[in-house]
Amino acid sequence: MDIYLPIAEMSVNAFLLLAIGAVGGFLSGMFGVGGGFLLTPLLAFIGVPPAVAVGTQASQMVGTSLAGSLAHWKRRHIDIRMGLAMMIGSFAGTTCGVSLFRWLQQMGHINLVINLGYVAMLGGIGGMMIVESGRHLLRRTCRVHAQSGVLSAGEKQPIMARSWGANSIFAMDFPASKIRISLIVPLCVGFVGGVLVAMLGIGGGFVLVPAMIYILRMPPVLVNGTSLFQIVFTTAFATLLQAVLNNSVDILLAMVLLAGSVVGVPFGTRMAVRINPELGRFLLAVVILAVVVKLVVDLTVTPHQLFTLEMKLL
Amino acid sequence: MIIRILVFALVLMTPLTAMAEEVEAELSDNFVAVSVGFNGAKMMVFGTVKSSADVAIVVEGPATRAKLRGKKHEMGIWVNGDFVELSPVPGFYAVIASKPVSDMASLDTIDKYGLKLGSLKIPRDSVATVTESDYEAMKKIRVSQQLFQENPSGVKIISENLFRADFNLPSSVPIGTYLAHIYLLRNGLVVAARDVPFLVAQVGLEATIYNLAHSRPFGYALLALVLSLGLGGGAAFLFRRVA
Repeated sequence: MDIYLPIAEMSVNAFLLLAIGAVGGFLSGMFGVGGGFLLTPLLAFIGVPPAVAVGTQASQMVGTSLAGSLAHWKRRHIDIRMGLAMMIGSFAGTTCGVSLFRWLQQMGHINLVINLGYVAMLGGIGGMMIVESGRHLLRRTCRVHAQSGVLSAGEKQPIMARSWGANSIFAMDFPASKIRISLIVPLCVGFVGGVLVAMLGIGGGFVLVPAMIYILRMPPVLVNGTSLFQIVFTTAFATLLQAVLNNSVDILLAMVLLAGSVVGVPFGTRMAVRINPELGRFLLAVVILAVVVKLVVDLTVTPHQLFTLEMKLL
Repeated sequence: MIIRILVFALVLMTPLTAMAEEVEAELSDNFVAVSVGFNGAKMMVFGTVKSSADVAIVVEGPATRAKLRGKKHEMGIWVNGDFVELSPVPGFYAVIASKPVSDMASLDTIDKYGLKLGSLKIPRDSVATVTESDYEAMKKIRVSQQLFQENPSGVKIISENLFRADFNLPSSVPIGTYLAHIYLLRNGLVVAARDVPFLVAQVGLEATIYNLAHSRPFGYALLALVLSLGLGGGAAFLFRRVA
């Protein structure tokens, strides 16, 4: 059954869209990422103009991330306080990122910077993650593991773990994550995430999840939910920008994708809690590195279409 | 005196009316409604000619501005290069004929009436740096999208006086006013012509969405957010047993 998309001005198979949405939702629920890294190329592959794909997927990610964070919230797997702190930082970051993007555009070579930056960042994160989680996984299978954080009967509640700037005036308690950390840190993490969202057009999950694990030292079980909580706001902001500045949001496309993704999300979140955290991080690292490989291939192999064409009615 | 002027005017008009009567034509559909299930449209032009001749039809879509961006190889990787703008370029251009155009028309005629994709010239408002190869690249892409078509056997001469032509509008055709120019050719020259317009427009839900997106983008964005949040939240509520 084909459906005509009014902003993309083309028709696509509705079932194909539902399937693509479902895959995106599954990834979102499982890894706490936005899913855009996979959806945008898939949509472009089936013929949706890239500008519309980017803009529309921002609006779709709002709903998908909400569904995912609600599922995690039900299990109390979100640190709302931390999420809000990062969110404030990310709004500042997005605004700065947009200006930075425009400045780089005027300097020329914007595409080179973006592509190389993307590869370097994702490659670095993915490589680091795969090494770290790979080591943990091997250690687990080699000897009997003593789970940290599991209380044996009779122990009192553990005190807050102390992290960066725990003694500074900005230190705050984050009870859900059980850490005491300077407020500046999540603000900065959010800021960097916002800059990346504005410059690279990604949901930010790829950077947020590792940052939350390694920099904020949050318990892995809270990371997915908090990341998705964050993404709801950043993608909502991005949707507004895309619709107003570029007219690139196709509501019909977004709704069909969303219909598919909300089916995929609960399966993803279920899977996320079933597997142990190290394996989850390892799989995410594998996915990140797969994306890096695809990016490198796209950059180095001679493209089969050397021109892109955009058409606007006079 | 007045009678002389009138007679003179009548005499002047005769060739025009004769030309107009030489060929009559109509379209199967003067209004192509783009609704939710739109997947392209099969169009048919049919008509009569006073005496047998070759027929060439040029269907021209609404004027567009085309932005062409090339990829260049820089420091070992492929990046997007600068873009050129070509304007105005027809958003749709189809040439349908009863036989290969070079067999029925002289080169001058082909150029004058645009009877070949190759005869389309670089549009006048384009940036000065636009080259022929840019234009060729653009035409090639349009051909692959089926927005530029050339069909030397698309017109079927059914009898000495009756013809019919079929062509396809792909689902990605631009919205707007189209013009089908029907040309009658004899001895390599156009001897008669008729223009038939048709409209491609969105209707119903599609039109509402399109208009809202372009006239009130902020409200449109808010609507998208509300729907997205609502659907996401609602589905989370419904699926809470699964998760």
